[in-house]
Amino acid sequence: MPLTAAHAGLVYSPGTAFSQAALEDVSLSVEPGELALVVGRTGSGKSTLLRLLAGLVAPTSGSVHTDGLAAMVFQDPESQLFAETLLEDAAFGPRNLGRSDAEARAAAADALAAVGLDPAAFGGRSPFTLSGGEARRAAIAGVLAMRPAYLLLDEPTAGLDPSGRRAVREAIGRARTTAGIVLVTHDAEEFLGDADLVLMLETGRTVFSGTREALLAEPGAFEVAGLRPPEVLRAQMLALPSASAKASYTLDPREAAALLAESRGDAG
Amino acid sequence: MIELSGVSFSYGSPADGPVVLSGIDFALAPGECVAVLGANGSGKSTLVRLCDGLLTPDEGSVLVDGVDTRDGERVWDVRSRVALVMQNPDNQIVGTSVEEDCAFGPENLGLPRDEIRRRVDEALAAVGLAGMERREPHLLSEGQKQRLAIAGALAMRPAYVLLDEPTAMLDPDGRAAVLAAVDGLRATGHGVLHVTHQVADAATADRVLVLAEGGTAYLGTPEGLLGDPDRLARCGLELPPAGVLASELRARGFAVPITAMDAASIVETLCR
Ligand SMILES: Nc1ncnc2c1ncn2[C@@H]1O[C@H](COP(=O)(O)OP(=O)(O)OP(=O)(O)O)[C@@H](O)[C@H]1O
Ligand SMILES: Nc1ncnc2c1ncn2[C@@H]1O[C@H](COP(=O)(O)OP(=O)(O)OP(=O)(O)O)[C@@H](O)[C@H]1O
Ligand SMILES: [Mg+2]
Ligand SMILES: [Mg+2]
Repeated sequence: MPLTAAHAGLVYSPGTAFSQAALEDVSLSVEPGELALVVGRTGSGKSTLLRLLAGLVAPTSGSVHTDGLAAMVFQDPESQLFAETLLEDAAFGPRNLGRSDAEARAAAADALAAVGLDPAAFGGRSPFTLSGGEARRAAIAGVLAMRPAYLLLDEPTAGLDPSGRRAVREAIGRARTTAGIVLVTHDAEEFLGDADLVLMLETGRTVFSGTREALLAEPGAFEVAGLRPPEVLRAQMLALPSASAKASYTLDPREAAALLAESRGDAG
Repeated sequence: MIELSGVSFSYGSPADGPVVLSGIDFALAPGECVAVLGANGSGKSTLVRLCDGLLTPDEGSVLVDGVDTRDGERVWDVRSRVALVMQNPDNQIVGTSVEEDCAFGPENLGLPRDEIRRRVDEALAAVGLAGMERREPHLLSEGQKQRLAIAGALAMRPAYVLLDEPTAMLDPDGRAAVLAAVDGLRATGHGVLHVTHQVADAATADRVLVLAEGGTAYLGTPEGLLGDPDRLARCGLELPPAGVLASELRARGFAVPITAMDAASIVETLCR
């Protein structure tokens, strides 16, 4: 059975004066090998959905099921780091899952290297004096080292430099050979090409749920969710609005340039 | 003016800690926005903390409108001129309600109550948090916290605003609101330092500073960086997909400006 949320809803502090509805009737199902992208405006319920899938909070309606470990990288990485050294921090998860000390440390070193933190330089560093991007990489390493069946990633590339983004994207790609991924991002452009499924939330409700192809064919869904389509897609929507042109919309900037240039005739 | 002259800094004792910044010369003038880019760990947040006196240099000096940040008796002169929005908004929450948090800075400036009220309402509206005044800051979503931190800085109306990756966790509307606020600050004579990993943010700045290996890898116009692929690569930076689209169109003879990084301005030049 895959990782599944079925008609899940969440109200924070229900029945109190501070009661806050964050999710309503949201369904999602991810198999190992699949990547589901979750996008939506600030406060739309994305992190709440990941917390539900990770079992950190229980749904107040509907249900969540998983057949394996679903581990989450928090949006605020600093809230996840705690050990004395980075190597110990990343080794904590695998050790907790019963791996031997040597195995846990090896998994930790591999995971640090995978996110571009050289274990020789960073393994002995305190997790509390890192730069913002270094801290995010460290938090991701700690979860990668556990090799969970499902990887729940909240803004995994926010604050990363280009090489860090590349490293994390590659690490996600490798993890995906065995794990299912649910990834929350404000930068849909970066991960849309990798996504099997896209879920768009708006004030806790689903406004789009479907394949990447379905979304590209109906990019108006971005606006319904209060978002902007990726700029490359938007350029095509603005310049080539006809229904027949929609079928060839692409996320690749070079292909898009060819399409746009062709439609205008050669300028030079 | 915030003036850094020959600034070096390391977190360990100067003798043994790795040097994060060395020999930095840089000045931020009122009315200009400088975008600061560079790899993770290149010292951007360190630079920002030096500019607001949270850190002081091991060598060289930092002057804020002529006041040395090491002058213990004039800390307040520096603090009241400079507002810092930290990279992690959780580190900046002080109030138990959104409005109280936002009012913290103006209250410290000793402003009258009705003036504080006005500024708080204006700042919360500018970042899209109107209607959330009574919410508890630590229970907000991360993007809401980031917006609150920015509102707190806006409400102080300081001479200089230092924004450390202010849009890293914002949605497109939030990003646009912050960039509009930056424009507004710049137009009213405030100096803005905008730390970012988004090359597109550099396109709209007056100048760009790129840090690498402790020093300045680039300091100049956005065009000088964005229009030079080799320099961009040497700085460890990459054009966003829209920038690649624009440069492909330029190669095909379309007059797309170097700083056009959004769909509307790219398509506009195609239609001409
Ligand atoms: N309190 C500290 N003690 C020791 N080293 C530190 C401390 N804070 C930062 N560093 C180190 O100093 C270097 C510069 O950090 P800084 O936070 O300025 O980088 P940055 O350019 O802001 O990076 P990022 O893009 O990841 O936010 C990093 O290598 C970091 O690990
Ligand atoms: N512990 C909590 N108690 C009460 N309300 C909460 C709590 N956590 C989140 N909320 C509220 O629930 C809504 C959804 O929050 P959530 O963190 O899931 O949003 P998000 O989509 O992840 O936003 P962002 O893009 O800003 O990270 C928001 O309005 C938020 O203020
Ligand atoms: Mg969130
Ligand atoms: Mg930083």
